[in-house]
Amino acid sequence: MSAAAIRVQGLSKRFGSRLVMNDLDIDFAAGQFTVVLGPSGCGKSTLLRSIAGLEETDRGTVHIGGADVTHIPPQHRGCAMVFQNYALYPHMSVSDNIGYALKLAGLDRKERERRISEAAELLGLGALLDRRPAQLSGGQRQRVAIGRAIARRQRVLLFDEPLSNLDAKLRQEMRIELRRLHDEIGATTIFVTHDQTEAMTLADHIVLLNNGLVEQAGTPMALYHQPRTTFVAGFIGTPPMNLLTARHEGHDIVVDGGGCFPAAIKANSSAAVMIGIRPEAIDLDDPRGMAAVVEAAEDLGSHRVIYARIGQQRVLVTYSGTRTYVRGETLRLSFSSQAICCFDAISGERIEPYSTRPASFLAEGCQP
Amino acid sequence: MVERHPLLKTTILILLVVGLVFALGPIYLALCSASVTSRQILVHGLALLPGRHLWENLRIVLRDAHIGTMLFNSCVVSLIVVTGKLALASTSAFAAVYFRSRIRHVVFWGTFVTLLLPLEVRIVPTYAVASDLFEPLRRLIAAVTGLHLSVSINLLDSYAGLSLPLMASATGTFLFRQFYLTVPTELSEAARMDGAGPIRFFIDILLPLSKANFAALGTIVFLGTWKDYMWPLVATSRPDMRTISLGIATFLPTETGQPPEWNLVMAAALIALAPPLFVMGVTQRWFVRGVTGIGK
Repeated sequence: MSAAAIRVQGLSKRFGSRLVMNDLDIDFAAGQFTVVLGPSGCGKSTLLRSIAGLEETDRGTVHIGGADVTHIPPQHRGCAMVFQNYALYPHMSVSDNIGYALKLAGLDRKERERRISEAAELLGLGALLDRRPAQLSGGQRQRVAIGRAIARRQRVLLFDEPLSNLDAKLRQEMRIELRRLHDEIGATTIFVTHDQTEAMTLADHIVLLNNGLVEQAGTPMALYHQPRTTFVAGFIGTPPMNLLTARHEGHDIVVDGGGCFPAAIKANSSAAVMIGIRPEAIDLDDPRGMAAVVEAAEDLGSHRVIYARIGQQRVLVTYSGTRTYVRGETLRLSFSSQAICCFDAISGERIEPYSTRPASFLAEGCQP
Repeated sequence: MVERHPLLKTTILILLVVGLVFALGPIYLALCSASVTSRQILVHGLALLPGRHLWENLRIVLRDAHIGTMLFNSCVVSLIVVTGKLALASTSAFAAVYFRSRIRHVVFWGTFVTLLLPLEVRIVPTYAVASDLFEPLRRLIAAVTGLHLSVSINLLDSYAGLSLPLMASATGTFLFRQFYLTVPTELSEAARMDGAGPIRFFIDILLPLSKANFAALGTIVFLGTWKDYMWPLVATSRPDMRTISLGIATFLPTETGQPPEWNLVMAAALIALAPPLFVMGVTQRWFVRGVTGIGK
């Protein structure tokens, strides 16, 4: 089984008056684990179903392994799919569920049994082969659905939010397992989810969709550290990036209701900007930092999430020290200017700094 | 919601008992009346207590040469109708649910409207067609080409004539359609991904899942055909093509002045009751599942 690259070009789909895919151009590299991420209704499931051939598109083409499959029925596209509700055949045993496609493909009994037991072994289903889906737990059904997909040994594996019906602990286990399976099998994998944690932990490559458009595509770390828009900044990370409204004045950025710091960006003077800063990149006890009042604090054991206000703006800080912070206390927040992302306040797009001067946040005015 | 109020419980119990009396009462009366002599019924009316002549009456009825033929006819016709109706209903519902076509809704609702036209309403045209199957076609050909064909097939007094008009029904299509709509779409998509075409999906996935529906509809249709009186009465004239529901009536006198032998009628009714009872006993478990929709 060799992996195949997938390329979608100009893919568009309209449901009534709603454009769920708007001229999408995406490349999925061969053998990579790509997560298509986005809020509900962003078109990610439609994209996956278009690749599988279950959804007819209005415009655009789908290529798998270099061949145009736009008008080829699903069974001839070389894709196997895992559905959100597992879609196991209720009247068939686990082994029949896994073996059904193999039987239809005309494999002889011996080969079928070999593949079934191989898939069962890979997923720890050995003891369950004679059971019916109704006799399995959610996690076991999920494994069977995955087993059914991998036993077919297709070049492409498609996952449609497969973990969303599992509880948190099981989801975490399955994440690790899925990653292990991918590394063993090596098929091109496309995994659709709305859960950014799944995306961050599983993906080689993330495609973040919003309103039928690609908001950003890249490695998990690229999306995390260099979000292209405020949408990406607010979607990736738990808790997400803080977004503070500010103004650009000369070489400085002045935070509304707070202090200012130097940052050289290509923006008009006095232009409204948003600055993004990750909660864990904020130091909350710098004597020169800007004042913020604690509103609430959540203790998660390993770290605390502190909710504070700079003027009218909410700021989240994660803190792994031992000190407790109480409501009403004043913090002194500071951060390195390299940890900051600047966004255009109107378009929401990121403004690249043309020079990053290593500097810390200054509460008392900005002097070059 | 289950209420546990004692008064409610009593009321429900009384209602159930009343229902049971209404359901079983006639059967009890038939059983009692079949076990007395003809004289006793003529003098005292329907028997309220069992008598001692049940076997004797049953033997008289069974000795009638026609009753075996009639039972056989009823069985054949009922089985043909059951098979045909199940095949038609399951496949037409499959088409209505799984195939996208512009005329899908027109066809489905067209089928549905036939509910308003039971056999009793269209019995005259149905008789006309059954007596000469090509009549409408011949008219059409004559109108279009001017040719007058003399082919004709008469379905009266045949199993085909007895069963075909009862076969197509909207209720069956509707029952299967409602069931198919509850089958998750992902199941059909999974089958497509697995390489199953529509026919394979129908045979391998849908049919096994709708076993209970088959049992339920099959039972209902069997009982319905078995007890149908009107169509066999119209469509048969030869005694050897009569069905059992007609047969019961043959024990009533055809000439005035001859006394009706109600005890034999009741005995024949009891015999006619046996096969449906057997069918019901066999399919009962599936029947309940199919009707209540927990067959999956």
